[in-house]
Amino acid sequence: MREPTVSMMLDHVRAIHRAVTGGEAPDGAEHADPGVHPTASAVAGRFAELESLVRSIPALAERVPPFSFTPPADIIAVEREIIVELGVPGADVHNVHAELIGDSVLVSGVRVRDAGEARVWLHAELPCGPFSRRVQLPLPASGAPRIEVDRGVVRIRLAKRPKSSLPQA
Amino acid sequence: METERFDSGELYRLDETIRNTMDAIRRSPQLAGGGFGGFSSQFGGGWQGPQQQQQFQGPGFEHISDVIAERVCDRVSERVSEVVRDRLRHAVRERIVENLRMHLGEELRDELRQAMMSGQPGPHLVEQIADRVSQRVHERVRERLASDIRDRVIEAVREYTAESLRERIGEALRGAIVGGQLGPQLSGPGAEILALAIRERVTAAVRERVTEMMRERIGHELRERIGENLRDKLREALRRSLQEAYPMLMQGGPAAEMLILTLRERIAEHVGERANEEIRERIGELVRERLSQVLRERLSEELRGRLQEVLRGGMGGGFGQQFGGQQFGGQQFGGQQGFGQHGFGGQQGFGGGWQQQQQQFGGGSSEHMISEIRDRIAESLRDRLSESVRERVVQVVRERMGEVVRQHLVEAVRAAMQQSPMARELQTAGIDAERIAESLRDRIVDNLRERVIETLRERLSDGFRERVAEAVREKAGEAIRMALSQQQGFGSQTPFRAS
Repeated sequence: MREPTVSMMLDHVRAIHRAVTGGEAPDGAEHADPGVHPTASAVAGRFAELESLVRSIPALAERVPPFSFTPPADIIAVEREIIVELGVPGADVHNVHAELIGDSVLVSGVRVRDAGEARVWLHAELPCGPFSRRVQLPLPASGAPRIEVDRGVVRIRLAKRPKSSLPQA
Repeated sequence: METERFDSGELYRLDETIRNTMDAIRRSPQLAGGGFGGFSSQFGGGWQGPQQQQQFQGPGFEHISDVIAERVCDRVSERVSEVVRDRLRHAVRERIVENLRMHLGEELRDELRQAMMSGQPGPHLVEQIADRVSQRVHERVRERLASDIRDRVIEAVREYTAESLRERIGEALRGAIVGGQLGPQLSGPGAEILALAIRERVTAAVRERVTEMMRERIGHELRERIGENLRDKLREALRRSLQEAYPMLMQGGPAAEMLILTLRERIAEHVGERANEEIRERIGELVRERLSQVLRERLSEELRGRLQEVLRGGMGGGFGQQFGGQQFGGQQFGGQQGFGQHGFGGQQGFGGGWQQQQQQFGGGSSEHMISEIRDRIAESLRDRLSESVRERVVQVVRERMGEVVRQHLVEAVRAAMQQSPMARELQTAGIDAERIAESLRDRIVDNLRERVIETLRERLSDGFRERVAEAVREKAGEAIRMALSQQQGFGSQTPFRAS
């Protein structure tokens, strides 16, 4: 688990707490017992449990945006490229990664929630947190994917593989 | 999950905040009593009410089993292909070298003889010899190599698919249960035990069939992928070596024969080394693709069948009978108190003592409980035992290796020298078996020791782990059942089913 992920998880849990109680969650560090060291996997498990619990309560789920999401995708072919477009509102180009794996492209990243004053969501649909989408490419592609972000659309450009370089049967 | 560096203070803060938030949700009268009709009504009101019966109608099992299968397929095939790649680390190289050694010298000798007879030396001849020899060796080696490797691949697929499936299906089912995707009828800690049973049955049903389908489907492609790669590497290595050695080879005689033997060794080693990585990579890809395809075909259908079976009550007397009614519904999970202490409270409810669980779920779920205990024992035993056996065997091999090589090497070298066509020349040159053996011994022992130990570590560990787990699975269920029935004084009227 990466440190930024931990901090995003913490933000998310605080948002849930605000949605439940209307107030801020007590700072966990105040009650820290130096003898107890939770493992990353145990904390991740508890986090998943909490998130599942929230999703199973409609009254709460509609006020807490989902922690992770799979963005919708389009695949477009132009003359020399294949373009994969994913709808990620508020995405930052520095927080998006793309990798060509065989005949599919794996796009992952994080949509960081706006920092600033503590917010209480009254209704939440816009996804936040980590996202990932593996897109099967209908045409062979090669080279490193180029990433662009434009008005909430993450655009991955991949060069079409020329026919001559196709592996021979 | 990635295990990168993180601040433990931050992790602790997160953990505490999660706990506080969980508590807040439990204490909240609107949420604990509201939502989906409230947790208390989900867990406390029993399962047989008409209103809830209505909710059971048509949970989209088709869709859910597809989603679970989809999630499981990729992860299992990814994991198994990694294991296969790793398991073949030495096997591919060894098989290539062994097979090339068997045919390369002979083919090279034939081709050179023909080249000498044609009497048209030149650089183009090297190209032709390299092409012809690589083509002929490739044709002779391909089938056997592919078949050897296929057996190893299938063995690894068989062992690891079951293990990985068990892990992933359990995980996915638990996720679906916790997320409420399987509907209220399959939710809560009781359903997790049922998930274990589903997991076991699906794994058992899918395992053999998947292995068989994999055997059928990878044979041809494996041959093509290995063959192509091997031919290219062999041609390249031959061309390079022949360009250097061509003039000497064309002179013929014992020197040329010696050179052919040296070339054979050098080329076999070189090709083995170079082709190993690429071939393993291709095999890994092939396994991933085909396994994912095969699992997609089988898994979804099997999962759907088992989930429907659970709903119909076909698994162990039905869900209502096992977890419903008084034992599960009313007393243990009733109201806020029940939920807080035993339900999503985590450790206490599900991970706690077996005694407590037995009380919670009553006799009807004992089979599932036994299955869970058995799995845990198997997992813990197989790692510990395999580790200790492996270390012991490795230690013995390390101690004995030097001794055994020393004993047999002189004899082997002497026999080889006597059979060699150059025996007389070697004798005249004053090269005796003892001297050769002496100079080779340390190098051989070191090399052999490392390789054998590494292979033993891999194979002993994998095979042994599986065997221990299998044996425990077979025997432990029965033993636990007997111990429990004796402890509780059930005597001959034990409620546990005999295996």
